[in-house]
Amino acid sequence: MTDLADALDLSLEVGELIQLSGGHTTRTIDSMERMAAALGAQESHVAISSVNVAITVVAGDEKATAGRHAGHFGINFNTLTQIERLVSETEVNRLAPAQVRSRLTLIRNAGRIYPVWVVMLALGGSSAAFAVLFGASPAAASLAFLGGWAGAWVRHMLVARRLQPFVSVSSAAFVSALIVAGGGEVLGLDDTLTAALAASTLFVVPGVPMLNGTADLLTAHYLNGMVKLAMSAVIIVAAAVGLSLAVSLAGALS
Amino acid sequence: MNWVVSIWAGVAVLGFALVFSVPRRTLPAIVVIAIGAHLVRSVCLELGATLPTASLVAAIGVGLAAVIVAPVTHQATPIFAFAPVIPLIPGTYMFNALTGVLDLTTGHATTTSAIVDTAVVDASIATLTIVALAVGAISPTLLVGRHVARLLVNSPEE
Repeated sequence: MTDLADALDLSLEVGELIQLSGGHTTRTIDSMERMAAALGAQESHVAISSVNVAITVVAGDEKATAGRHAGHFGINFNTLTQIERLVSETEVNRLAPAQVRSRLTLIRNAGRIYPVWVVMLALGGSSAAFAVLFGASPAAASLAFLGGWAGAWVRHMLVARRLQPFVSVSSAAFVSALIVAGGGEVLGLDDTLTAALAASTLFVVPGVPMLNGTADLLTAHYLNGMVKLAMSAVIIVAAAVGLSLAVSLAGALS
Repeated sequence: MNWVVSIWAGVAVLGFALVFSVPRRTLPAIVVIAIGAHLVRSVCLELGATLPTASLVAAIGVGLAAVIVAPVTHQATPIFAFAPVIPLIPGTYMFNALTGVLDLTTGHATTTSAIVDTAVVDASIATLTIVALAVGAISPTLLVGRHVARLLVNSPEE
């Protein structure tokens, strides 16, 4: 592989990993251009869409262009950190393309830091904490813990089966809210059940896509920003559908 | 004002931090920033600010903390800028707006106007608060993140 081909390929790899891990468009463009320059490109032009990354690199009379699909918005901040460090090290220490490629392979294959069951328990804890912040009683907060934990498991299993976000989110919200609303009926909780219901489904709120969408709008990447915000809106509507179905069902059964 | 409640913001942020695969050694800082943000918002509310304004101030504080802490700890800025604002999401307003819309389907004409009023107010507060959180958390990174990083570690961290 020539130097220019390395710059092209490895910059694309960087862009793809940042897109996949929840970086906003400015970060993706900046990191790709820096990596290309560090690997010998004299000039580079990046194009990012919601599901693709592309770059043109120029060195002397040579010019090359390539693109990749990078469509899913999984969030992995550890990957963002590792990529940021790699780009900086490549700039400062002039890492060879083979070294960069091997580091990128390690980053891509690193996986998640925490075991799934720990994450699910923590999400249950988050739901209970939200319930307390919203003014729920200890009993209602306990229901929020249970609902958040079960709903998080449901979403995890449905995402693993590659179901669409609308299905996985509405199902997760339905299970969470049904546990809280049903539990509230059984235990005779009324006053603070609203707080627990709201808290138990907050784990599906697409905080990072909303923040990234806003960042894209503020940095004039309007199309990418609108796509991320539209995706967030779909997820919020899905959560609302699951939540309202569960509340209606619990009300009808009581 | 019940200051102790803000500690729960630190618990709330932990679940999301783990979902986002935040490195283990950054967790304490994220928890502290989240508690601090909740305290700032509570103080602003106590001083008479509206929820969106108080949330904007708190989110700007989170964003500024992120642009300082991230380069010093050699982490990506979103780790400190994104997770700590999640406990500030106005969940009850979102829920009340939704249930208000659902209540409209019951068709009780005498109460419809009041239900619409309440739902619109709740939805407006929730929407403005979420916009305030997003703008507040991300603005410091976009405006001064690179300059602060260069000042602190003389490296090109965003």
